[in-house]
Amino acid sequence: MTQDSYRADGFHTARIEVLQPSLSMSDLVEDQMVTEDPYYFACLTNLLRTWSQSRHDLPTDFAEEVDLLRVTRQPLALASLEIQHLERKVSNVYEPYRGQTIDESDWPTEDLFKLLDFESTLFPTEAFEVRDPIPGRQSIENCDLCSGNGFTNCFTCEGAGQVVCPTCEGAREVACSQCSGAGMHFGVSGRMVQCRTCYGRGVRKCKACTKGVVRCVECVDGQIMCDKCQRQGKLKKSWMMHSRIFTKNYQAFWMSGICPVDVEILHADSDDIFCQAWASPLEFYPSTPLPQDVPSGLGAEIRKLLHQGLESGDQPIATSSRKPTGARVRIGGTYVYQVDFSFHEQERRIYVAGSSNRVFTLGAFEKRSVAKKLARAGLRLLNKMIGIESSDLAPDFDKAIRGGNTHVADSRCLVPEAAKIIGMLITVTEDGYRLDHFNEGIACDVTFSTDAHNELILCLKHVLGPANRQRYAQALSSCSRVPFGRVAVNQDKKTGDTYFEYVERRLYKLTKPQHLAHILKAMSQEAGDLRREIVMS
Amino acid sequence: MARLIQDLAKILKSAHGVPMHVDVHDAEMLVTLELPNNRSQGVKITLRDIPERSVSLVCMRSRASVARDHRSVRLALEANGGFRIGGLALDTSTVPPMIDVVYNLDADELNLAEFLRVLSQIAIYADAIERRNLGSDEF
Repeated sequence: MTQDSYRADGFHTARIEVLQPSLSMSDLVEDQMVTEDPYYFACLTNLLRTWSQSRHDLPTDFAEEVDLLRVTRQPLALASLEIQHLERKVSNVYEPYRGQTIDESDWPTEDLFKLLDFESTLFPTEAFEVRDPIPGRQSIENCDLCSGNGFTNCFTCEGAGQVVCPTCEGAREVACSQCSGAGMHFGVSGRMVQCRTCYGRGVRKCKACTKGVVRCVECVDGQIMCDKCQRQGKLKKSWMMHSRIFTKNYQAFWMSGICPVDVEILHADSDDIFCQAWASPLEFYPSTPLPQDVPSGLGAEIRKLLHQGLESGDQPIATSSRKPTGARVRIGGTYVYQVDFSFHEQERRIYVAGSSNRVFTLGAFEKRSVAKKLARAGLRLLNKMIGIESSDLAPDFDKAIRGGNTHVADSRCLVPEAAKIIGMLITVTEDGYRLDHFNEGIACDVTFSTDAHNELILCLKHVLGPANRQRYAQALSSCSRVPFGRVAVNQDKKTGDTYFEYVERRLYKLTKPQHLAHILKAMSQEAGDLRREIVMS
Repeated sequence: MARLIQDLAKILKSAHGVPMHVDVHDAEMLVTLELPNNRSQGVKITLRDIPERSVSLVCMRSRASVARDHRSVRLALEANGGFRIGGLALDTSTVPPMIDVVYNLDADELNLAEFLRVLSQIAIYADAIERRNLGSDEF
């Protein structure tokens, strides 16, 4: 990334298929393409208008004033390499020996990575550690803690089995509780009298012990069981393998020419085109080559990454306790749109890229003070409250675009609004929408196109079923009867099959939600009748 | 309903810049538009109520060609998929059957600008088909 790279400004939407279709490997080598398709212009203009709502350095009338000048598109190829590393070490494990079988067989190898199997291609996002017992090389040893006795001297009584009485502290006598050790106390007459409990001695015999000592409660006769060998005196020695698995990530990108945007964020925001993992044993290059159609520039970048990842700088490819066990290469891609636009006689440029249409800018558009920013935000809020909208954008268009609930060409959220009125299920597709009817089961595809005057056209289409030549005249005749739309025959380019379709086109700007709902409902009913007449009869 | 046709006829007669002739008969009218190259094209405008669909329609229909054979019907059906506005329909009430350009507007949502634009486009489409298929200027 250079200082002049355009950076993502935080704006993004849900996936918009028309701008970011699924790419194939061959798409990645496309040259920069200039488009003048008014449909793309309409979609990108709406995206810009939505984006402007998130900026505080654009004029309030930006959505009305913005004029797209040029749009170019170029694919960006993104590659990521993950190297899984395995770090291993062994340790001894001791357990009490109770006569169980001992596996004294020797290990087949001293190579820690061959002693036990492992998963070569997990590629965990976070490192984790596992412990596995290693079979063989087991032995029996005397317990070093108790010297094989099974018991050790009690730490409390040091093997004596008794301790000094805690009540009299070995004195065998305790202070008299009646006179508190004084031998005298006040009598009922108020005069001092001799203590009758201790007969003036001040002390009494300790009743808690005999001879000033008591039995140790921590042991039996001064001995305690050895914790380590559990009284067995012998230990079974075996071996444990500690395996730590972690992944290191490396990233690269390729574009024919200089990439104008900061690509870091795009690695996680692009579609996978190719994904291949190679397991251990891993040399410098995976044994399976990359696909033939990987762009050569990207292939070179991936090989560089492999060098970097497998050699890990100055360290050898594998140390005795650590080695790479697998590699995974992912190749993804996204279109990068260069969008030149003007507003208030200023020409500016942004880039749009990534599955979620991130906008990349080069700093602020207009320098504004905090007070001006607050004033602008206040003005927008006021306009919204009193119902003044700055353009033909639906008030919630930006939310709907970000949430993937409306198509980018549908700036007035016309189709979702109409679908809501008549209770149809709606799904946003690459070209527009798919509406599902509950009653007839014939879905309606709504798409957008432009006419010769660059006016946006709304196209409604129901696929009725396979076209039968015997029904052609009846199908064309039915066009006189239907209230909206007409029946057409269309050939599927892939299969060559022909279908009857029930289609309608409307000028987008003149269509109102209530009216569209009315048309959709009428066409839905008519589509069912047409199917029965010309397809199923 | 007949009142709407009368009102539309008045509007058409007063529309400037669009050379046309308007004949009104009760609930229908025939508008003959003057087109370039000394050609003309008639568009029949009728009103239609479809109570079961709860719609009232302003129906426009303009003769385009003769359905001579199966091929012409197939071509009309194929062309229907690509029409920007309007579509082709088979009129089987005549012998031989005719192919018309048709388009309906919702009478309750009638927009005059759209009505005038569609009227003119239907006439142009129908005349273009007639000229290509028949070479004459009968309709």
